[in-house]
Amino acid sequence: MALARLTVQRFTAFENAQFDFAGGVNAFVGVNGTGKSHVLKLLYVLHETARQHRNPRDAGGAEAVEVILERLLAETFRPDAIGRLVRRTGKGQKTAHVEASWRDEGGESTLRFSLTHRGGLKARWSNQSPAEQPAAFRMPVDQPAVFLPTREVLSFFRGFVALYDTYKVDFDRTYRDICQLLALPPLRGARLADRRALLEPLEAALGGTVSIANGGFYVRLADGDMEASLVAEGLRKIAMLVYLVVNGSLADRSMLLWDEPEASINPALASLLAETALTLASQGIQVILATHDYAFASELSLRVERASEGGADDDAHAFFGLQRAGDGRREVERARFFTSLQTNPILDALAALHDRELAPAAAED
Amino acid sequence: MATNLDEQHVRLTFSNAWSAVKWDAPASDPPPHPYRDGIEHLKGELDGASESTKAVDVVAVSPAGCLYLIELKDFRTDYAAGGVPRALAFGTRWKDLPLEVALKVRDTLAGVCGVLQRDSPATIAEWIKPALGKPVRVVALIAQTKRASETAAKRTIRNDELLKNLRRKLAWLTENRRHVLMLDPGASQSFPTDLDGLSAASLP
Repeated sequence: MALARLTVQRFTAFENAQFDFAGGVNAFVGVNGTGKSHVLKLLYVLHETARQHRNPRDAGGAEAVEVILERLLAETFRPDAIGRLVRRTGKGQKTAHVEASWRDEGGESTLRFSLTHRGGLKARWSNQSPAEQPAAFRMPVDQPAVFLPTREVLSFFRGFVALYDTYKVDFDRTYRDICQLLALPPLRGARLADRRALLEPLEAALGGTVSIANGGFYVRLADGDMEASLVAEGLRKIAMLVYLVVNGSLADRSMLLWDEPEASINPALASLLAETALTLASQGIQVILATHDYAFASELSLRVERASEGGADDDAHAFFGLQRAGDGRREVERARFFTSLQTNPILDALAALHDRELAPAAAED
Repeated sequence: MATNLDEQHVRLTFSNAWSAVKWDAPASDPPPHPYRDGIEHLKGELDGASESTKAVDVVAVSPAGCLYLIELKDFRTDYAAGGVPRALAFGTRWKDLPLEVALKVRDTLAGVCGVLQRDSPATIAEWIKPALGKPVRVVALIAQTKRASETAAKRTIRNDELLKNLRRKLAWLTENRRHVLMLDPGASQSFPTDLDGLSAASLP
């Protein structure tokens, strides 16, 4: 199933917001503090709760959904107490409500939870099937979500999962989980061969292949192996992508949550990143990302527009603009293309720059 | 017969396969004056603020039967007028250009509806009617002087940003990137094939 809808009320930055996701690539733009990363983290928590709560109709032997949800909320958002995630406006008790729905041709599964500012958490599943089919509950997801944070992790990968699981460290859970996924061994045979088309341009940009040895990562260049920590930070991010493809973590039915793909990466690679996101989507991976980058957003939109002109599904991908309203609430806009977004701080910032550049330059010319 | 329409210091020439009219022709020009005799009359005060309409420079129908709204902005410093370098005005108005053009498009489409509704002037209504039902195209012709302090790459980015912001302001009309064009009529670039039969030349 693909994530179809997220509704949030009084959760962190959001007073009341709804996101209707496309099955392919979903790109968020918005200035800092509008809640982009919070949406990505919340989706990660919901996806992983759904995946880890394998037996929703029979709690015996499995953790209650609230237990999983509370742990993931606490470790992913890292508030002092999870009640802090409830948006506080005015007086009196406040309760956040969150609802995520996954959908396919066989029906819809929904996970709802409410969270009070004192930390009271309640969650429940519901299921809808087409009228002609019996209402059998199906778990909406079975593959782990991949959360790619803004920073690369290869440089501190060695021993990080054990460190995180043993000690209190100042990293959120997404760093631990991406390290755990990276620890998986590479695929072999036909399963890896199927991924060559995705891998080749990434490896070309990297200038080599990626391997793991002695608990650490290496980039295999033409003139020998180089420790990942010695490779440029932007290339380490590319290397992460390469290895997540090589070991099958980025696979069909998974979800990629990608926070600022462009961070630390030269705009010359914006085209590659956009192509990678869309190729992953074409292979059945739902991609939800946040970006501040003009080149990346433009490259992504150009490909989506060309596909649309070629007759592709108009609703295959989506762009979301987030902005802070005058009263502090967050407003959400959905559009088919980057240039259709009226809430578009990337274009606003560039126009303002050109405005400033041209005014004094006129006197020089 | 080709149609020549002069706007600022640029002459637009439409081949005989096109139909075109200077939409905002001043009263001093020979008729027709579709804007001035039509939607321009919609003006007045509302809540103490003056309200009026705007107009693009040219309305045309292409050989393929598509309606084109064409706006020309001539910001070349070598055509400075009235002692004010146009480039300065261009610079100070950069951010406003997309909204200005989009509002002109909005009001011109309303004006076109008025012409069709009243069938006046009938000659214009006659060649616009077949374009109904086809996507409307917008062309912004932005003539600029190449600035000594600006690299070609920088100019490309600046123009790309302007086009994207224009498309953004016109998203209510069309999201098709091929339906909103921005061209420099003073540059040695060829127009896209959709505009075959349209050419631009600088006037002295």
